[in-house]
Formats: sequence, C-alpha cells, structure tokens
Amino acid sequence: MLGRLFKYELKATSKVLVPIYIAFIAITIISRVSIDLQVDEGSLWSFINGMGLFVFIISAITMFVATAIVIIWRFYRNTSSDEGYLLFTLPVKVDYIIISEFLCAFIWGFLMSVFTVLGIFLMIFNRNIDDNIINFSYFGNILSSLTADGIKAIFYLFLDILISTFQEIMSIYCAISLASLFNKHRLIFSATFYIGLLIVVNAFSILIMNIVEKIFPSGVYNAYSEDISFSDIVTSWNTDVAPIINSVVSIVDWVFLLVVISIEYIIIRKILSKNLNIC
Amino acid sequence: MPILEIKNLIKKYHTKNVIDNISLNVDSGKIVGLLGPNGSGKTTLIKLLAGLLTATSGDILIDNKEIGIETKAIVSFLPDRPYFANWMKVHDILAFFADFYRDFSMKKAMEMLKLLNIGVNDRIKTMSKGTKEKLNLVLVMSRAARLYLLDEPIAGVDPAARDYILRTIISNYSEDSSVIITTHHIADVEKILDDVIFLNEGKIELNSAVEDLREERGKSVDEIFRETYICLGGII
Amino acid sequence: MDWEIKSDRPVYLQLMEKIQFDVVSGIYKPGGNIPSVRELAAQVGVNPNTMQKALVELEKKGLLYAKGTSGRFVTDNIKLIQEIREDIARSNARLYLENVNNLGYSFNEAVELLKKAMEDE
Repeated sequence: MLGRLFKYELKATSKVLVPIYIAFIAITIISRVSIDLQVDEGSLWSFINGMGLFVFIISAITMFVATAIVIIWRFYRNTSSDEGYLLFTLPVKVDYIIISEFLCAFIWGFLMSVFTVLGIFLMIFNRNIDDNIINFSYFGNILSSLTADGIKAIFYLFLDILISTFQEIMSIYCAISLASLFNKHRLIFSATFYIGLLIVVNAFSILIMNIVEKIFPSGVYNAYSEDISFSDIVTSWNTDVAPIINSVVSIVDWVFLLVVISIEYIIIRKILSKNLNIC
Repeated sequence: MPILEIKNLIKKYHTKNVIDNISLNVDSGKIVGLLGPNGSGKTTLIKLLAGLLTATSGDILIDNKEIGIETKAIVSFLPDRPYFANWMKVHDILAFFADFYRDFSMKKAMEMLKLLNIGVNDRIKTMSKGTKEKLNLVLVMSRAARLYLLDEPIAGVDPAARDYILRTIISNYSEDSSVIITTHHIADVEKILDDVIFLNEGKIELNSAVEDLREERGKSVDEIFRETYICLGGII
Repeated sequence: MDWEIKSDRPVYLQLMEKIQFDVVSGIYKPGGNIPSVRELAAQVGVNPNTMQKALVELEKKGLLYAKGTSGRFVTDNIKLIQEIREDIARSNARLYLENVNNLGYSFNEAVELLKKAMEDE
C-alpha cells in the first residue's frame, strides 16, 4: 500500500515538475552556449554573454521555487481540501499517507540538488577536454590531501544536510496540519506556524549547541591568513573546521533534530487521524 | 446481523453536540434515507461512518468491525462534491480505484462509463460539474461494498441525470449491501427507500419503514417531513 | 395504466395493482415470465424490496408463481385471471355508478349515459 501511495504521489508531482526540470537542463545548455558565443566586444550582441548567466540563475531559482510549491501544495490539497476525501477513505494507514508524501518530497528535494549541481557543472566545465582533465586531477589532489578527519567531516556534513532537509519537510507538513485545524485564513496560519517552528527549532538548536560546546569544546579555531589558496582551504578544513563538525555538538544537534522530527510527525499524525478538517 | 450498528453516538464540536446520542441499526439489503435540514448532523454522521471524523463517544460497528482500515475497505463513500485530482485522466482514477480497492470492478465501471459517453482518456480538469459527479458515482458504484454512503447524490443535478443516478442505485441493489442516502430532495428519492431517518440538531426524530409511514399516515414521506420540521420550528 | 406511482399510498399496493392489470389485460401472457425484481424495480424507479413484496403478495393470490432461480411466471390458471379481470371491471363499474349517483342520476339513467358515452367514442 505504501508503494502504491508513493507511486501516485510521484505521478501527481511529476506532471508539473518533470517538464520544469527538463526545461532547466535545456535552458542551462542554452545559457552555456550563449556564454561561449564568440561575440565582438562592444557589439549589440554582447549582452548575450551576460544574459546566459542571468537566465541560468533565474531558471535554477524557478526550479527551486516550483519544487517547494509543489511539495507544499500537494500536502495541502491532500489533507485540507476535497482530495482529502479520496485519500482518507482509502483502506490505508494514515502513517502510510504521510510517509508516502514525505518520501516524494524528499526525492524531489534530492533531485533538485543533483540537477543544480549538474547545472553548475554544465555551466563551468571547460570545453577544452585537456583542461577538464587537469581540473579533475586538481580535485583529485584536493581529495587525497584530506585527512581522515576531513573526510569524516564531509560525511557528517552530508548527514547534517539530510537531517535538516527531513526537518524542513516535516516542519512544512506540521505547519500545514496545524493550520488545517482552522477553517479560514489557512495560508496565513500555515506561514505563521512554519515561521514559528523555524524560529523555535533554530533557537533551541543554537542554544543546545552552545551548551554542548561549553561541555565538550572541539578545538581551537584558527584565524584564516590573508593569502588564501585552495590548498589553504583544504588544510584549514582538515585542522580547523573538521574537528568542529566532528564533535559531539553535531551529534547532539542531530539527536535534537530527530526528536523534533518525531514530535512533528506525531502532531501531524494525530491531526490527520483524529482532527481531519476538510473544507 | 445488522450491517451497521450505532450506539449512543456523540460528536462534539467545541461545546456543541453535533451528533447528540444517536442509536440506530441498519440491516443488510436496505436503502435508507437520512433526512434533515442543514445543520442537523447528516453529513457529520456520514463522515463518521466513512472514517473521516472520529466520534467523541459511543460505538459504531460496520459489519461488526470498528471504524478503521477494515471498514474503509467495505464502505464506499460518495461525497457531496467530486474529490478528484485535476491532473488525472479517467483511466488514472480507474487505475487508482483498482489499485486500492479489492472490490472494485473495472469491467462494471467501463460499462457504465461507456453508457455515459465518458472516455477513458478524458481529462478530469475539463469535465463539467455534472460529468464529474456521474464519474464519481460510477467509481463508487463499481465497488462491491457492504455499505454505500451517498451524500446528496442528486443535489444540483438535472432531472435526466437524477433518474440515471436513482436507477443506478436500484440496479446496484444487493442483499449483502446497504445504502445510506442523505438528501434534501425527498420527493424524488422516497420511492427508492426502504427506511427513512429524520435527524434534527443531532438527534433522531423518526426512524421508520417508509411503507409503514404511508400506510399509517396516508401521506408521502415528503409531506411528513415538512410537517415534522415545521412543528420543530425549523426552516427547510 | 401507466406506472404512475404516488408517494402518499403504500407503493407495494400500487405495484400490485399495476402488475395485476398488466396480467389481466394481456400484457403479461399466462404462463409467460415476468422480468426480475431488480429489473422491474429499476424500470419503475422503486425500491427493490418493495417490488419484491408486491410480487410475493401476487404469488399469494395465485397470480404469479416462482420457479426456483428461473424467475417468476404468470399463472396458467385462465379462470383466476378472468376472475380478477372481472373483479377490476366490477369495481370500476361500482365507482362509476357511485360517481353518477352522487350527481343525482338513477341506476337506469346511468345505463343510458353509458350507451351515450359509447356513441361519443
């Protein structure tokens, strides 16, 4: 049942987002081409070079906004409007409904990141193949100069982004669910609850991190030197930043966020099972 | 064994008892009319049976089961407004029903859609309200459910469509299943009913077999309804 | 007689009257079968249980009989059909006489009126 629900969520969201994502790649390619166009300096057409970057950024933002809107809109439609009649009379557990939407939201969030990276790559890769190889080996050098600590820190960073994304989505759903308890002005209530959650969660997060930092200090934070080069950044990542990320603070923060996610899930579940309010 | 048993059901919104201590049984193979003015609790009761709302107190048993996933699998609910996602085409919603409801008959649905001239590739977004309602009815009736809940199935519908809907309900009749219909249009619907329940302010005013009422009072249910509610001081 | 079912009298009685009429007037032939309960109910637009009750009552009267799962059939008993036909005709006649009597006509005058009415046709 969870699989089927997920399938329908994907279908519903794909109708809108797939064209946008494909358009993003197409626009990126066009942007890249227009940047590369050999145009006479000062001629009327020289604006095309600059336009390329501008258009790329706009389409990336559009992709982001569209994804966010679709995620929010889907959840709202499914829980607070007529489509809820269909969904909540299905012989499925409410948990499955929530999880299927959450998974779908997460997949699109992930795809958005992937496509953004892909887009950036398309915009900056060097057409001279040799130069690219040089660039790749450069990155290879950077990777190999990472210490174990440094690598661990990168993984921790990914985990951090993952859990934060979970929490973001869950907060959006929680805000919408809470807003559905009211009959009017749901949009305003949703936004208010969301901002409220954002402030509260972040405040507590910082508070807890500060407390833990006092108890388990992570290390000395060296000032950056004036002359900064890539290798300097890698070094300071290894010696200064990584210890901070790898510290107990991060882990405590994740635990805190996971607790927040659980509480938000419980709230969503309760509202959708017992207090379903479809207008 | 009644298909539906309700005992001392109460549903509270804020401080008001929208359903105020209702008890009733519905046997299998019955078509029951649930009548009452706006605000009498009809739609709330239907939603409670459909599992969309939770009771404040009291018991509801459908086929001797408590409201939950098992009852949702045997209850077919037709809301007063179509509940489709606009992105779907007809074949999408058919596949949806087939996917989630084991008692859904694709064959039956396709036959009914053909008679209604609704194409499998039609977009729901471009359908008229009347066509959406018919589609909704087809989906609900193509399930071999034990309990059908039809909330205002003929409201705002032209006479031809209304006839079609009523005949569909009759043709779908089975001794194993029951139908509960809420409506304002009593005159149109009363001939297809076995029993009728009058609700007022969350309480049952009357619960009787329709033919008994006709025999005892020599009046149509429509007339009796009007008299009852004028007495209660209600505005119909 | 059309299926004009009124809601202020028990429907099953009206259904009985109509089916009975269809039998005695030859629409349903003796020994012939009649549609199923559900078909009839859908055709007329009435509750199937009510239609069932009407058919069962007509079975009790002997006008119809059920043959297992093959459905219901009209009786072969021509005599019974004739009897019912005459019953219906006589009650129509009684009604006529009552009506014209209320208008002040005597029995003989009533018969004369009938003859005149036939000439009108």
